[in-house]
Amino acid sequence: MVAGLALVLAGCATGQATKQSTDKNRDDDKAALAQGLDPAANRDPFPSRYKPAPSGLFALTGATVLTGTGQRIDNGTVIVRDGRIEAVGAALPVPAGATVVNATGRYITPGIIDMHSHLGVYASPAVEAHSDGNEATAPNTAEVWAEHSVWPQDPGFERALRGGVTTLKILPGSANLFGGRSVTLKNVPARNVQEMKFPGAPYGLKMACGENPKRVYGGKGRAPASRMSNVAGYRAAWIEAAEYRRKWDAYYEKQKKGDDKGPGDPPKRDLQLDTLADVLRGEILIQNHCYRADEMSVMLDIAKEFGYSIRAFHHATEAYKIGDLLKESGTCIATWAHWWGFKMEAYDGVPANAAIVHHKGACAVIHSDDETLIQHLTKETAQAMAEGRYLGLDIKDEDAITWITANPAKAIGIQDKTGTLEPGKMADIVVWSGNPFSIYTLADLVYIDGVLMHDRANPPAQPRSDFELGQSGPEIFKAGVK
Amino acid sequence: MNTVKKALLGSVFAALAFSGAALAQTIAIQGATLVTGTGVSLTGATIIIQNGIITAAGTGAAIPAGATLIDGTGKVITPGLFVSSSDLGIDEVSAVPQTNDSSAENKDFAVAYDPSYSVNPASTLLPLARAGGVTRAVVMPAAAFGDGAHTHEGDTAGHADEPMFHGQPAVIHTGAAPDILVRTRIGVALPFGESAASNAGGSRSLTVAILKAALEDARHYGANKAAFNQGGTRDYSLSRQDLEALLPVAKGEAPLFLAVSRAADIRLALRLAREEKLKLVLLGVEEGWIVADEIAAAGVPVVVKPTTNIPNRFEIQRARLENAALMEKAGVNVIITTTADGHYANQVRFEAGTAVAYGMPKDKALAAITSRPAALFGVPDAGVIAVGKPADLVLWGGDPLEPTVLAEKVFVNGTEQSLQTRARALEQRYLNR
Repeated sequence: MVAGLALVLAGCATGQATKQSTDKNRDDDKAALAQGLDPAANRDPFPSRYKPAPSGLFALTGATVLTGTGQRIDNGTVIVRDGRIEAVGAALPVPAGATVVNATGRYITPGIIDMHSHLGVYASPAVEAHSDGNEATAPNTAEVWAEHSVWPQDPGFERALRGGVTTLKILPGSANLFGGRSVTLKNVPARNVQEMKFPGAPYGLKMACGENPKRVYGGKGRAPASRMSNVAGYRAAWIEAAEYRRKWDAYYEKQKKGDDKGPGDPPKRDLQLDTLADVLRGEILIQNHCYRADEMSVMLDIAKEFGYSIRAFHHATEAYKIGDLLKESGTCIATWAHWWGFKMEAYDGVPANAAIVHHKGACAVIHSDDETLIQHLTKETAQAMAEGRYLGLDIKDEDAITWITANPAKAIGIQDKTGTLEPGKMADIVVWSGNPFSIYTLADLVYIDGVLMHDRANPPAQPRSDFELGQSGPEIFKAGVK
Repeated sequence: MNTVKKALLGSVFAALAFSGAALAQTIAIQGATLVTGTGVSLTGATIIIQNGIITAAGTGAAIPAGATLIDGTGKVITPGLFVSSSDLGIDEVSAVPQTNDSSAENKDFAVAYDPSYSVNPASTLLPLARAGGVTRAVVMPAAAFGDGAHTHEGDTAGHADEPMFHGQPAVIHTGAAPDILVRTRIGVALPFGESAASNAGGSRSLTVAILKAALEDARHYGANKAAFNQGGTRDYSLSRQDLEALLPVAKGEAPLFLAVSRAADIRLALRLAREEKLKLVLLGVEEGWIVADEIAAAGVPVVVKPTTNIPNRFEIQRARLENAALMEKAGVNVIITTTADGHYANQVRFEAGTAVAYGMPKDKALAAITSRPAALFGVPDAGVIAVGKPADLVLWGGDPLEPTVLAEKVFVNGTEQSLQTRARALEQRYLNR
């Protein structure tokens, strides 16, 4: 039955799948699954089509460079060739043929990474028709992917770019225990999400602790209605996922052995369990909305129980209470400096949260979760740094910049590609008009893969979403028709 | 405190109110940059505070014997900051309704709703605000300044069933005291855009019709109170309490605080104010830059949040970061505030800083969070630094608009305040644990 269905589907599958079928002998063909029925056949069914324009060779000179590796370089030079960083150092010689951009008196940092954004899935204008970020119909919707809700014309993207944001992680909302897959995007104008997808970035799975799931489902008279039911829900799902993974692994094992009778009936593919099983395989990274210290501590034990790791806690307003546990588990936290008190589980939020976590040797990140705050992440970071200094912590600008560059890159699994100014990395770079932690400083130049995406001095060249194009401007209120 | 009662009575500040041994001290801050809030900035200034009163503010002041000396080198003194539309004092945990009095939904007490009765001087939000240099706040009933945050988590309740009017704002100070009301019932707040249209029945035109009818009824009621009390008037669109509250606005004596966003709606508001002879203050005004000349010509003050630039509502599609600067340039009386959520009152200086980053002169941006709101909301003892006034000021570690700079001393109404907050108590508990 399953094999027959596979043959029918093969006719309308992709060219690649058809080619694979014809390469195989007739016996194998009977057992072969259509691509969509085999979770391992194609783990990237909506592949990135992002292709940066050629960047050429250029050098940014004379700037104070905060590298994202904890270093500060005065009179620094950053050399970019073919979209990659070639060299970073003090007063480096400029290679022959390089275009020189004089950044004297200015600051250079890696492109800002916001690892918690809902741009595109809660697009502006925030009308009901654009509310695509929470599949609040069941507590486990691990089967949904945020990228299928992303509207690339959200005018929030270009505003974030003006704030220096070059990479974003777009997450589903936090109504569910398992909210679905997140997606990592380059902040570039695009016609579809594939043209924004960060090449090679791992998927994340959004999970949520605490008040939101229990409120949303308890309010509907179903589980979970309490924190203990939240935990039962996570554990039950991991048990299902382990079983699913085992069945598929057994099937692939038989397939590999090349038994004459074939591998037998394949398991039925399940999109929800696909995602959960890939977490257990270490291929999808857990991004866990969780505020309270006690709940984060429980989540870390659940991860141990089922053999996966939590890559980052998001919001994590009480992370400062468990810096030691976070350091031990290698879990990053992404938080705010000034948000607190909007609900009970955020009541203990403190401005020095990131600074204290950093001080304890764990990985701290400042995130936005907001289409306005995403434009001001350096200023939010400055507040966290200032409160840390108030407490007597020695936190330098070159440390704090890692909270919005290298650390979020690590937390979403792209630290080998971007997040620091090091040779070989993507040339995702911001040239700031001054110290990025000053309220008066603006992003002058924003490069993504060495391509100038935002030039403050050249407004007509700045990206503009389709939504904003052709709308009446102020002239309508000055027009002369009587 | 005496001062509160005096302010409530509208009397001029009397130094006698501060007599008492606990306050008998002299403080001299030397060598700081003094920003008076009215556009004057002095470097190397000395400020002397005796028993809570400013006795000298300028260069070359003689230091009285026995004064506590504070080195102000590299530091800046400003008046205490204003937050001009906030739920500070009436909201503790936003999503816990028992602690949140910022939203009231009783149609018989819509205009008359007075949030001052809900003010809690023990709120943990107040120490955080004052540690951030905020010494005064205008307590504005909910949604008069619509900018709901974090709606995707469902943390912010919808406002669909709210009454159209939002009651009568009050002014509080943030000092540690059992009574922090400075002024009450200072006008009436009313949203006037998309949310108001929704509350009114689905159209902006209904908002206008309801407002006009209400004003007409209030005036009629005011002229026929005796008849009303004997049941001898026609039916009114509002309750007696609401008519009473609206009357000073209908007579043009008290301001109507109108939350309005779209350029066309701003023009409509200005037209209504002309037709109805209203004393208007506009809140929000995100598209104000487009019709800035008309706002300036009408002499109507605006209360804005400069960082609002996301077109998340159709009515703020043309919101931009230059809004405050462009209105200032056109001659509008611009007052800067921050989000209405009082948890974030301390962000008001960064709102002003952002306005500067996008073109507003710095002295004007500082006036927009000090002297201008003090004048608009009728608090003459705050918002300025001048000899004879109570010290209502902040000593900053540097430029007050910079997020890397913190307040080092805060005086509210003549009394120096602790800068300890609940957040800092938590930080200190866990810092070395």
